[in-house]
Amino acid sequence: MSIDTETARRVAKLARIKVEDDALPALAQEFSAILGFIEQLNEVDVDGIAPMTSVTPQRLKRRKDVVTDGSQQPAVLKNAPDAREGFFAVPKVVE
Amino acid sequence: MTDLSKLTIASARDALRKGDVSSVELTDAYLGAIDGAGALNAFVHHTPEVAKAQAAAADARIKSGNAPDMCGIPLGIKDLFCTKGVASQAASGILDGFKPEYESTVTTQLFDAGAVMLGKLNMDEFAMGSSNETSVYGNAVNPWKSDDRELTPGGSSGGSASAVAADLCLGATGTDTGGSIRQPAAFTGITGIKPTYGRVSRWGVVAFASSLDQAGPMTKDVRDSAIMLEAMCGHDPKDSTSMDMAVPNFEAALTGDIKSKVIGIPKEYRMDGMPAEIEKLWEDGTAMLRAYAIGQGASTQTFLGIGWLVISGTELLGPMRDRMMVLAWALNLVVAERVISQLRTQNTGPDIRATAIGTPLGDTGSHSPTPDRVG
Repeated sequence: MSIDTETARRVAKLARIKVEDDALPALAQEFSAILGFIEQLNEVDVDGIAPMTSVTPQRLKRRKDVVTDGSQQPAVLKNAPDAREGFFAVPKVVE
Repeated sequence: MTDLSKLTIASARDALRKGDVSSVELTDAYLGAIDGAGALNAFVHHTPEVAKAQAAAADARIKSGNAPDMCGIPLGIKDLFCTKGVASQAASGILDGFKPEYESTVTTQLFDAGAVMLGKLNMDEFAMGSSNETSVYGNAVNPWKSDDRELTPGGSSGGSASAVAADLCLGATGTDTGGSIRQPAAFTGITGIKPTYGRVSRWGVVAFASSLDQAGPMTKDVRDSAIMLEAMCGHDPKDSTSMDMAVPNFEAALTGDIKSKVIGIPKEYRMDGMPAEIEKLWEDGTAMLRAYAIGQGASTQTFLGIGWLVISGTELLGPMRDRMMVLAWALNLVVAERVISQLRTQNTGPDIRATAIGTPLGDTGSHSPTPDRVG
């Protein structure tokens, strides 16, 4: 599977990372190489092997859907660069 | 008086209990050693006040005669662990100034057991790297050298490995997603273990790939790893993937007898083109296991590397991506996209950017960081 420049552009946009136009062909080539590498997995014979997602014999824990924590407004806002009246304050983006 | 820098966790524990040394004395000695080892760039945030207070408390507890093994032991903590009120930025510029309002489960358990935090340790940015060269703090340096050149301590837990190897602490926390404890431990001649997934809580540890990440100890020898690992392990309701199983006494399991064990050695663990000296060490190690264990070090092709890449790549930026997408969707504005794009481009290193662009590997809808066992 090979990735073209247009797909690379879309991928970069989805990842919210700015990639200049002239860097896109090299990026596309890198993606193609990675996908080629991954395709080696097709060589693995998995016939008769049950799917497994964990090495430990344990199901995911379930818990009661109840409030166990809260009223931490000052702690939550402690690392905000700017907080006002109990809210995060962010730069204005809508004119 | 004994050379405090040459102690191990086990010998320090015994000396503390006998009253031969106090945790305050030990801690002062290590704080001094750290001050003299700035060139290694292992410790990147120093917490002498925290250390001294913890050491004094540990001494009181030891005097009372009821102290756990880790009580009074000075440790370094990898920057990936959230430590309350102390900078925790995963060696990234994007978390500059972040001081968590909470404590990771692992550090909570260690501190509850009386361990002392000397400071935070260098690492690769967001634990992505194998040489500790992608850190916002600059490279960590291996205390071992063969000539004038500075050598890498490995990574991502490079600062942890360097600090333990240079006797700057008795042990350090590391984390391992695809070798980040084991490889730097090997590069610096110390001992490290990646525990079985689920043994150690991931809560409060900045995630890389959630179904592969595990925290573990990095120490001077196997006994120390056993002691420190026991203090780090245990079920944690805050991490749904943590195992609800009793934690054994790992130190008591160190009988030296491995006769009943079958030991497998994946082919990928031995690479082509290794220097003859290292190749010989590898073969000697394999021969030692053959001599003492019942299994014949069976070698199999496991496709470990590729499987790892697929899992880590798809899980890596899933959560970040989702949050960004929700934000972008909510504002539905090109402006927001521009702000995010610039933030992520300016405040992360080139490796993180390259990996982040791999995000759409996981672009199949909802993100499940902790899949349930199937069947």
